[in-house]
Amino acid sequence: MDAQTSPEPTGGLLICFYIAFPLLLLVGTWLIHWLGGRSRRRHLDEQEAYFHERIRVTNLKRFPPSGCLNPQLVTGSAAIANNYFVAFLAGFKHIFGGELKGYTQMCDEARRLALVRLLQEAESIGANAVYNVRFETATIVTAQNNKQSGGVELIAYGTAVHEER
Amino acid sequence: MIIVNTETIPGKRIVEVKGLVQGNTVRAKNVGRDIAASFKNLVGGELKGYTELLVESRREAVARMIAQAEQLQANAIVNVRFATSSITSGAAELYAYGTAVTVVDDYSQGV
Repeated sequence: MDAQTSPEPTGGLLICFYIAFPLLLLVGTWLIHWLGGRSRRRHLDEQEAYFHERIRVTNLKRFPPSGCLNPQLVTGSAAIANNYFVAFLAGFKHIFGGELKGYTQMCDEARRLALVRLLQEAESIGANAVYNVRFETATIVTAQNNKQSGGVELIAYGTAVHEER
Repeated sequence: MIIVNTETIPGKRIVEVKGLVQGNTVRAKNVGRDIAASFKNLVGGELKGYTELLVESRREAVARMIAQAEQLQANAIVNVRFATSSITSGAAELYAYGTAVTVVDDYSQGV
């Protein structure tokens, strides 16, 4: 009984696995990417606007002669995951070349998030300026296959001081 | 111990350079975190487990660097840098290095 009816369900299953499921995944991850990205960027915009007037950020190595107090190392880090939809589009882009906008955005978000966390730490110790800010990037390798990027890790670090203005 | 990533420390003067100090650590998260992360790679967003891992290993690397500086009897580390690399899946190496120095207060520079 089972053996007779098996070819048809397997065909249906194959279509399910190779066409319907990835399509659903693409649409779903595109929605999440679009909505989630919007809310993350709004949060980052708010935070950056908040810190813009309060803390001055530079990557200068030298302090101004006017005088600074309490130098301390501050850091911020973020690990941002890849998105299935973005990875799919990037796969197509590899054929024609050009900018991988999704990945550019992913790196940008990670960098801004790391910097915002650095600023939060600087504010918590009462600093109003951060000197010599540097960024360090690493990619996360996924277990299954190294072809697929597993996201990006970002560390931002700098020297927080309280300077007289 | 004063730790900065600039070449000078405001209000202080470097009187002696003790030498390069470094600290590193390779850390992995547990399998559960890895599985959660691989699911997260479908939808994007922040990998909280890996951010945590990054923070922990950074602290560990800095702590080892400080321990070396203390052995050299330095009271500050200047020009600190971080470097990261992905060794294998789910593991990250973090390397912190800087120059251990002895500093004294210098009021002539204006604090």
